[in-house]
Amino acid sequence: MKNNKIFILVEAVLAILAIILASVMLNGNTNSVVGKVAVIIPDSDGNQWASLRYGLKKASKDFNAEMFVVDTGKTMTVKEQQRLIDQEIKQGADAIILQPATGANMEATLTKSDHQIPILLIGSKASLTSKTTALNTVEPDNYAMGKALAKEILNDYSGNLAGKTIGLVSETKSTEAVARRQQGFENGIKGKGAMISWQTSHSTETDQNKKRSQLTRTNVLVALDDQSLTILGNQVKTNNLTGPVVYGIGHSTEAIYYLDTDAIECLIVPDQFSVGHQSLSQLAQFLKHPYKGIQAQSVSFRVIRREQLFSEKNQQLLTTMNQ
Amino acid sequence: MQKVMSKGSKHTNKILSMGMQSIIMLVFSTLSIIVTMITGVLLYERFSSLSKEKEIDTTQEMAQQTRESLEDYLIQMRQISDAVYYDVVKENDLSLQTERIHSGMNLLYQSNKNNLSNIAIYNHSGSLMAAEPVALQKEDPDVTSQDWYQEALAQVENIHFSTPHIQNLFDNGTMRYDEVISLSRAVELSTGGESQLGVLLVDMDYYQISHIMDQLNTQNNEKYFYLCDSQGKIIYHPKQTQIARGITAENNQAVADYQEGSYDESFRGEKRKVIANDISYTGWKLVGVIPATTFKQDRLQAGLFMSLYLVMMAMVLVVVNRLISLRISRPLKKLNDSVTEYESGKTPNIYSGGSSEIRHLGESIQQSYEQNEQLMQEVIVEHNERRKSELDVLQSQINPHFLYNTLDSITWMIEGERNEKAVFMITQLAKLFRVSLSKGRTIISIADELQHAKSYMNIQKERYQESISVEFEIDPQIEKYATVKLILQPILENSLNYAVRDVDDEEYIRVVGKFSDGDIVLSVTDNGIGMSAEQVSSLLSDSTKVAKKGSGVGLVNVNKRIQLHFGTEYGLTIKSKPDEGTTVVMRFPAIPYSEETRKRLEQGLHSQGIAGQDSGGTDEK
Repeated sequence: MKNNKIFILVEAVLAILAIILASVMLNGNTNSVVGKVAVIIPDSDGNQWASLRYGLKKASKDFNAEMFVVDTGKTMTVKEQQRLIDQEIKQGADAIILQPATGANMEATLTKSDHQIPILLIGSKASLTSKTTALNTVEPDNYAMGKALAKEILNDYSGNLAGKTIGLVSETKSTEAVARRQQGFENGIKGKGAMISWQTSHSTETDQNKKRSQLTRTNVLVALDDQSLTILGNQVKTNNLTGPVVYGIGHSTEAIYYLDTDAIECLIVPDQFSVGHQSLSQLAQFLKHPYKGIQAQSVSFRVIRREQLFSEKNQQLLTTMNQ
Repeated sequence: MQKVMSKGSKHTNKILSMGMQSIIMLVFSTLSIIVTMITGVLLYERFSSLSKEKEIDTTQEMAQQTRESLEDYLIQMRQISDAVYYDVVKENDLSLQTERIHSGMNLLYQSNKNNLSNIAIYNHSGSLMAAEPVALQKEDPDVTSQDWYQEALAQVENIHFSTPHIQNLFDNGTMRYDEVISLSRAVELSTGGESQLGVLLVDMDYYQISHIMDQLNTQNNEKYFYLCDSQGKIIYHPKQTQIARGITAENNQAVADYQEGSYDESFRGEKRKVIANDISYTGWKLVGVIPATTFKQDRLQAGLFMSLYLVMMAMVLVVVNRLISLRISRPLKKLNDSVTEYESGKTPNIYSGGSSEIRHLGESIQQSYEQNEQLMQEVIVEHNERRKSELDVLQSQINPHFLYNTLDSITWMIEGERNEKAVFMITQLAKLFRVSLSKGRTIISIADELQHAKSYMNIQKERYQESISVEFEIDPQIEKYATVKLILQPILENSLNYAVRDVDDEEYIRVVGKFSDGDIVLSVTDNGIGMSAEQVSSLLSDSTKVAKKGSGVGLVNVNKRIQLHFGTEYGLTIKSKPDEGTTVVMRFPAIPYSEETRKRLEQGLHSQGIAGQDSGGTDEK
């Protein structure tokens, strides 16, 4: 009887061991994915995100994460963005990378969503006013980019902008990124004699009407985002806009093209590849080791002029934008 | 030390005290597991080694195939360059036959446009002479400062392949900045009959090369391939952008010095196998990198597989060993159990089964036990026979004396013409002898025994002139029960000879027969002189020293015979007081008389239960 018990015990232990080994063996064959990350950006198929998408794709391969960019339209409201977040959570996303839409209650809405799965912002913070935020952001130093742009203009004008009028153009005035860039730019030209004669955005009809009448009367046009810059570049290129010198911040091949064809004087290019790579790598590592947490990250940017457009460093940047 | 030794011996004792099955199973299992483990380890090592070799072979094979694809592509590009140069440029004058040159170049471009970005001819000062597709040249591209242009003119006899770069010469209106690899060579241009040196540029679409390399890198493991030029500058790498940004790194500078073959290297603390393949005409190297972790993964898988194999084998072996150990030990255990049963007093039924050796052993033990039993029976029977014959001798000792006296009395009766008395005496004597002889039986019915006692007393009464009063108080029920032959007569003889004859009063002897507590009790009481307690206690001790008036031999004889046949708990008890008389009580079990019980009692089998089985008659009372 005792022998029987020992025999059954030994067989049971061996059977359990065999099951464990078999399951480890079978699971070991499949390279387990750390999680699913959904990326929500406006105009998701837009050329301006090529570099970002490439960075995301590379990071997803480097860190073995499943990544997909949610299809979106040209513009995105807070409500629509919230609907997409809820939809992705329902569909099993483990984390979300988000370029926040502009809106008054965006921060609160996102903080609420953040209770369920981690959300990492890219490009811009969710709040215009709040200095501290519960949500971490991977973005270029928008203030520094604005200031760098001011510095380039000053260089071109030998540090003296007396009597010069500057027009600021942006797609929307209500994003934190644009606000910070503007702040950096204004601080950069402060005391140099220039006058920011107006600001405009494409988002309202009033602004568009104002733009047409005022564009030609400025000496310098400063585009604070990619879309504004490509619109201005196109206008210069097609001779619809003569007179003002265009400077701007952009990250699409169109922006590069207008620089290459002399429609833009100087271009500040944030490293969107790094934004994509770092944001996804952060989330992938967080999903694998939640105790590590998610950190806010700042990525670099490059100042490009036509003369150095095809330098080795700039070619590396162009390569990512061309994917 | 002593403690250790004692602990060791304790374990040894523990093992030795285990059952045979456990020992066999333990030894078999241990040996099987050791053999299986050794096999497993050897297989694991072999499997790991083969897996590593296979991985390297596969990598080399893949690299070889890709190298061939790349070389085919590059040869195709060379052939385009050759065709442009020898069939178009060299055959025509740039200033006079522009149309033919464009047409020739266009034909070549159109037939290879999937692989080409553009074809262009520059003169010695860097001016564009012809280009396909016809596109707007960018403002002041300054080709003379570009590497491909300088290299072509620096080594005019060679065809040069650049590293990938952005195509920056033409504006094709797509606002795209495609990567190209420039194939450049110095060419002799004929312009207005004059010959001058120029550069032929064929920009290959980098996508074609990256696509070939991407296909090579689709495996879902850590192994990867990259492409670098003769200086180690990366042409393609699956993590090219990450390397450019310092996110990761590659040991491409060291690889520039590698000849074709495989190398073990350590890069950033990680060991890896590097396989270098040269790409013809270009100086490029196709490099396959197999990090040690790839082998580790294979080894882990092999280890897991071997562990699973070991566990499964152990499971099977434990079952098989158990079956084998059971097969071997079960007959031995059964044999042991049957011997133990026999030792505890049960009937010998020794197990005889299993293998021929065990069967033979069982049969031998069975035979041995049977022989022992037989010998024991023989010894017992012999012993009983011996005792019986001794008692028969004692029994026969009393007969001649009695016979002499009786015959003497009959003689006197005949002489005194008391013939009727003599006839009576002879009749009684005949009855007495009939019972005495009883065909040699020692067990008779109580009725016969009483008849014998009565015959005896009738003879004695005639001898003593009927001065003796004899009274029989017998329960008729007891007459059909068995008794040892001639147990009353010696008691009566004793009473007559040694007790009653000296009494002055009327002599009487009373014989009582009855059931008492399930036994049968026969008692003989006389009113003789009686005996002291000392005399009584010595009467049955088989001694003659105190018998002044009687030897007591008859009492001893009767007592021994009763005990011999019925057991020592039965026999005689004597109650006597001087001058008051003596009562001799005989007690023996109530066993109904039959031929069967007689035979068994005569064989001394009373102790085996026959008495108990046959004593139902007493229960009726």
